[in-house]
Amino acid sequence: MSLWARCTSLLRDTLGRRRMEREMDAELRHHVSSYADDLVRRGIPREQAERQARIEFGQLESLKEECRQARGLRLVDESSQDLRYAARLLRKSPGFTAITVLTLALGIGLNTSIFSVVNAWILKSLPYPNPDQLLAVHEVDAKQTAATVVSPADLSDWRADRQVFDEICGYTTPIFTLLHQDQPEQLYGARVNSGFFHMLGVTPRIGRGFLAQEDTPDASPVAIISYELWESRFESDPDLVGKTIPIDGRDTTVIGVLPAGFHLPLLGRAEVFMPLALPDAERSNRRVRYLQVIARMRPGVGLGQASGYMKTVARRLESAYPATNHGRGVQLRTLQDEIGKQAGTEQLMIVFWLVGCVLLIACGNVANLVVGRAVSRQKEMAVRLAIGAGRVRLLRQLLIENLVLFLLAAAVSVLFAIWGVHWLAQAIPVEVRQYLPDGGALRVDRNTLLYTLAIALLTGLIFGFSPAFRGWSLDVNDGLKENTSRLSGGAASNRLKNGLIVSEVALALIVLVTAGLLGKGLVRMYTTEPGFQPKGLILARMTLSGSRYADPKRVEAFYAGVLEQIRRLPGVSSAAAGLLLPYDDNGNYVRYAVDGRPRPALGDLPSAQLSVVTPGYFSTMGIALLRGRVISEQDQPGSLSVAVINQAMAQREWPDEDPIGKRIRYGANYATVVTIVGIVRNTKGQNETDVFEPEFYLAHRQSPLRNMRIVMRMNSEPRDIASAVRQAVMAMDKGQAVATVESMQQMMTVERSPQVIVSQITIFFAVLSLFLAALGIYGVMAYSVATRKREFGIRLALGAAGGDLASLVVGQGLKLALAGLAIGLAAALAVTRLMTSILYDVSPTDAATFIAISILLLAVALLACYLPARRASGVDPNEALRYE
Amino acid sequence: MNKQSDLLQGTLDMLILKSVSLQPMHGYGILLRIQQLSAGRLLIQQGSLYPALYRLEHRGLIRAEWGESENNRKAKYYRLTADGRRQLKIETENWNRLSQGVLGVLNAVGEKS
Repeated sequence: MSLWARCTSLLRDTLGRRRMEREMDAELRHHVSSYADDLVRRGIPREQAERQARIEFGQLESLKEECRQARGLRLVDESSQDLRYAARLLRKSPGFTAITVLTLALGIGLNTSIFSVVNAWILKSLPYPNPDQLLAVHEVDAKQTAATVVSPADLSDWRADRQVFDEICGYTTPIFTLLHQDQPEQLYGARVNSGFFHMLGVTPRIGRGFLAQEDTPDASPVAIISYELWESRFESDPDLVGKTIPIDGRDTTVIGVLPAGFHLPLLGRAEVFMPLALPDAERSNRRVRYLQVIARMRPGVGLGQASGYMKTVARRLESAYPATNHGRGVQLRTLQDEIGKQAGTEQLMIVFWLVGCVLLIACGNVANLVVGRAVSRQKEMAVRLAIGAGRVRLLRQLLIENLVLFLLAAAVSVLFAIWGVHWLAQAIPVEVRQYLPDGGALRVDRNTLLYTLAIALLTGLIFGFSPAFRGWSLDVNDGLKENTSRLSGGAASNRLKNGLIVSEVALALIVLVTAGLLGKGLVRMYTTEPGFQPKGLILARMTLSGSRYADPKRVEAFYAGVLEQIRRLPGVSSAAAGLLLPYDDNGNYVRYAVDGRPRPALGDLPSAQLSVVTPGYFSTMGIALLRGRVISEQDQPGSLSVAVINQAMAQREWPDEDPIGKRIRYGANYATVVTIVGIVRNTKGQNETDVFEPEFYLAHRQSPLRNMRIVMRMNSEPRDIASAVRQAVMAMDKGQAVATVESMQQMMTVERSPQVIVSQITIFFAVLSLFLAALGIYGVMAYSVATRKREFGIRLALGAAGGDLASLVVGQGLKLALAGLAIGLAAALAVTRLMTSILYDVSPTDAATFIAISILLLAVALLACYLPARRASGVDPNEALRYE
Repeated sequence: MNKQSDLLQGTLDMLILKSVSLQPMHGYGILLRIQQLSAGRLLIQQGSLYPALYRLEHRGLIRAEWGESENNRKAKYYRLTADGRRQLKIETENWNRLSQGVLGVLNAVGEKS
């Protein structure tokens, strides 16, 4: 309360300053005259009385000052003086002001832009109650250490044990076919355990969540739909809950509508939710793994505790079921981390550190300028001290000057930040951002602005105030004695400047090396053959729904018929279907055994990707056949079960033999046997960064699958191919729909975009760092040459040649640059190791990049030293010596 | 005692609060009132009153209004605020406790054995 009183009083006085002064004056005068009146009454002559009253009252002006101080106004007065003085100084040296403000604004603005992404992606917590209790639960293979999905039986065992978890739910993300007003439509969906929404803390806006009894195979089907679907497909029908809609050919009761904007990134674009409802037999299946798992920890249980407990659970399962659980562990990660990992937070953090390096280099340059300025003002300060200015007061003024400078930079930096955020927002594709809370929306918000302010103040203190402070020797005698024209600021400021060059070179090297590695990776990415011809390929994803397709013959017939129709579409030169396509978002790992070889322990069996393709797949995709034959129309049920393998598989299993004719076993009890008939080129897997994985392809006719990707090669620009494909599908079966139609090149662009964006940003930072570092070196060397003019003059007069002086200067700069280079190389080696995951096919210690970047940096440093050096050699001894 | 005794730090504040608690007063009035109540034993340097008044007003313990003084001059009248009244109570209690303590020590009589 007292603080409030003080603040309002100060505010009133500051704003009504003139009135306050007037009243104070009147009040004091009233006192004096009243006292004088009293004295007159006591018989003293008026003139004398007035004099006595004034004397006894005391020094009017110093009393007034005391009164102002009592009101806290002195600080305001002096600070505003300092502010005005600072503004005047900055106006007086527009060059210095412009360069420092621009350099800083660039550095701070870039930082703010990247921070806005960090803020949106990492710092924004999930929109659920107690989000830190939510975990993603994975199984890990002891060998691969890669996180994988979970088998239904393992999940059942986990669910039965509630020692550390409040709730633990499995989910899958299938595609559902909704028949809406007789129009089939494929919708992204999710099947979840009944406690799923309750676990997240999400309550349906209308209706209710799933009940435990609905999560059983015999229960009649129920669904919860997203608010957006309710709005767009069902015209926000308030009576929808309780009605039935046909999903996958079964009448399904809608029991709830989720709140608007519900979006759990891990579920993709799911709009329809149904209970997992695993059949009883499936619940005890430990052999297949396909469930994703999310859990909520009990209140008070920590991540470490939960991890420890789940480890013992995994060991127990391992000893109980060695055949399936050998070497399998459990890995827990917070849901936030899991989502962040998918969105590419690793790349983001690296970029964030790099932009920090850029800011430091920029700050180094500014510190250099500030020191130079402080040195040149040494005399002014000494004079001010000599005539009685307080040291504290001078320091405060110094602080305010620098704060003004850095805050000005912060204000300008917001412009850079807005531009940067705008660029980022349009550069990062929706497909990458969809994993993020709030769709990864980027904006310059309150947090971002606070961050800007914070780094401006921090850098202002570290790189503005403190070097200026050190640059001033606050010693009156020295300051007055020294001749400003050859002041170099003494040993301390020289050390500071040399340190700045060394650190700037080191920092620039780190950024440049990272950019070099990323750039090299980018070139590799665009020049590496993906193993197929992406140009002109269109892909349509679909899943056959309904009990009608329980019969594999019907599945086979459907795809054969649809492909036949699609081949007749204008612009389509060929069409086929496959299960796993390059850059597509699914994988299908199976363990296999080579027939006729001693079988290794169950847990050690190798695994490969298993795809299923129709005849014509390899020619449509443009995948080259290397040996043998491809899958053809002759591969039918009843005839020899065949497989085509890729190079990677051939290399792994038969490096010195001909694989054609060899047989592999897979499936339940490894009972299914296929004979290898051909070898094809390796193709890219799900991710651009994956290495080529062993893969084998089966004939769709021999093992038909419901969910396939139809691929078409176009020989002309496709005109609304999507609806043509949809019509072809509906012509075969009115109840089926196509999920999505995309061009392969579009998918590749999206897949490559994180690499491309990170590389672009880093290269931009690298160019900027190189420029700033060069500017820094040039600045320091030029200043050094200017202050040593007299020394050079003497050297020349004593017989030194101009070239000697030049090499002296270059040598001095080179020594510093080399020191920076050495430190930078050591740091870069340590740092790039952390980037393995974001480097494309480039070693983090790639020697060629390190050498090339070092040479580049050294060459630029030499150039930056050479220009001032030339000036040193051109010094006129007469003029230099007369300069005194 | 013809020499002005130095007032303890903060004592002047307390005296001012006490004076204006009786009725609203201007600065000169406060000075006279203190002299009168202390029967001339406490002398305050005329000007030193004002920084104290400004500090108290700044702290929200007293509030000022312009009014007419006895000799038809415009004067600033100070009155106690609720906070000021609370503060005066606390300070009076503290003062009493202190002076009782000091008196107790000063009045101690040597024990007879």
